[in-house]
Amino acid sequence: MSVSLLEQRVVDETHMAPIRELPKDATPSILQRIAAGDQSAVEECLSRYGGLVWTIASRLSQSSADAEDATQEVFVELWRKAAHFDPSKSAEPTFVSMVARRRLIDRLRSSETQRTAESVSCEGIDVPEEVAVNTPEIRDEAEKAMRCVKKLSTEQQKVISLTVHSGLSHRLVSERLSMPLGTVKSFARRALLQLRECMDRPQFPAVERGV
Amino acid sequence: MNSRSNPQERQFNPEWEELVAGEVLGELTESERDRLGDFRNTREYSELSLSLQATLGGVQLALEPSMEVMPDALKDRIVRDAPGYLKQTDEMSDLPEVRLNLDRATEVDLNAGEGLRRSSGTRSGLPAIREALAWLACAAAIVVAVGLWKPESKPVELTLSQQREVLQRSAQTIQVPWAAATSPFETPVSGDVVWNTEQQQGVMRFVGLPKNDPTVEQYQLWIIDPGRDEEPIDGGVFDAGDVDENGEVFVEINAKLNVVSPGAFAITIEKPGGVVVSTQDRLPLIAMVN
Repeated sequence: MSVSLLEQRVVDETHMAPIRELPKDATPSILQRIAAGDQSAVEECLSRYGGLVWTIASRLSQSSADAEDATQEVFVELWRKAAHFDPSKSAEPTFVSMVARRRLIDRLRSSETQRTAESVSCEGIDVPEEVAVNTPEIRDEAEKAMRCVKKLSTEQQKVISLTVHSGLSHRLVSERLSMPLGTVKSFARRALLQLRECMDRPQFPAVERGV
Repeated sequence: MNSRSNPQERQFNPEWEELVAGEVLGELTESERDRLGDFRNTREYSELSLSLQATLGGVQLALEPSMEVMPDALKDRIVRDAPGYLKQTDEMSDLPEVRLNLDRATEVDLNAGEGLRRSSGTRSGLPAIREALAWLACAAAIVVAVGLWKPESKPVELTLSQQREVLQRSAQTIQVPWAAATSPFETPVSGDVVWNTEQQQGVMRFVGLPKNDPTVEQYQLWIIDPGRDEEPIDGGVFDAGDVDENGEVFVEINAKLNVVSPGAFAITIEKPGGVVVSTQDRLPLIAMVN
């Protein structure tokens, strides 16, 4: 059964909204509250996502001071873009990660000339065995993504890991893996498309049971 | 979210998907961008791009090998500063035409129809200006004809002055003053350029800009962008419109191509409709970045 048919069947049979769509009476998310000007949501946002953003910023910054600046920038970006968060398009942790990634990669690429493939630690190459985040809301999203990453070929996993996790440009990935630039480009793009397709699939329990 | 799963939607050119993936990864070349063509103005493109960015965000979550704790001092600082930005968020949410696009890749070129105009020739003057104008030496013409698709957009209601103010609130916005260039106006002209590369939006402000007769000549903006290539970007043809109560004239910047890292903004006076190749005989103003 195709994914789309399966998804439709689940929706039809359960009369449930499509995956991720919040019921109309659902409690607003943290970002939706921030978009509405609720300042009490700011601390909640930092409690839930502060560690995530700080971790990514620390890894993709060249100094602790730079990481602090970068983290502040990411949260300012989040405050300003909170109104763009649409729970039907992405989960909140994914949105936060997406905004953080864009901001941090922009910063990183602007100082790309100072980086070399060798300057990136070895931990960037291999995909971790399991997700490390322990906040339930984030962990769910991370585990779903991890299941899809694990379905990529080993080479694709390395390319995606260096590209996404370490924030390396394709040129640096090419140097690091001694892989032709064109191959890196192709691997990365196709891997991203595969990941998208995989992550778009419904994650209902029925799917996991093979229904 | 997966556009391909909807049979009602048009058939994708398979190459487009890979090109959009490359764009989201920040690794799209200019020629590849050209190959996307008008697809970049479609809803399918926007959805695909956003979907791929969300995918990247999810993968980012998965690949974190450990999670650190944010320093308390930093957390306190962010909480303390937040109210000011939340206020901005409120204001910006009411201003659809200047709202930040979450997805840079979904930002579309704002201008349609006109060909890219580039200048050639050299001028004497300050070395910095001469160097900047060297970029104007390469002539080429590329037509970027795009239609503008703005999902759920509302009519433009802000004045350019208000748009400029909103842009100024962004930490990423640059503001550079006009200075006399190689053929200055008889009467000094002041003002500045406010530009936000992330949003690809900007507004020029002039004080004392001489009125032009559009049937005889028009002003043309050039954006010298060494971060992109050696060829300047046509920033649009414009007239010295009505001055406001402060004696200021505001003009929107209409960059025909994506601006990467602007090094200077230059104004030339050209024939009506602008030119593809400027002789730079009349170059009254320039705003140098840094």
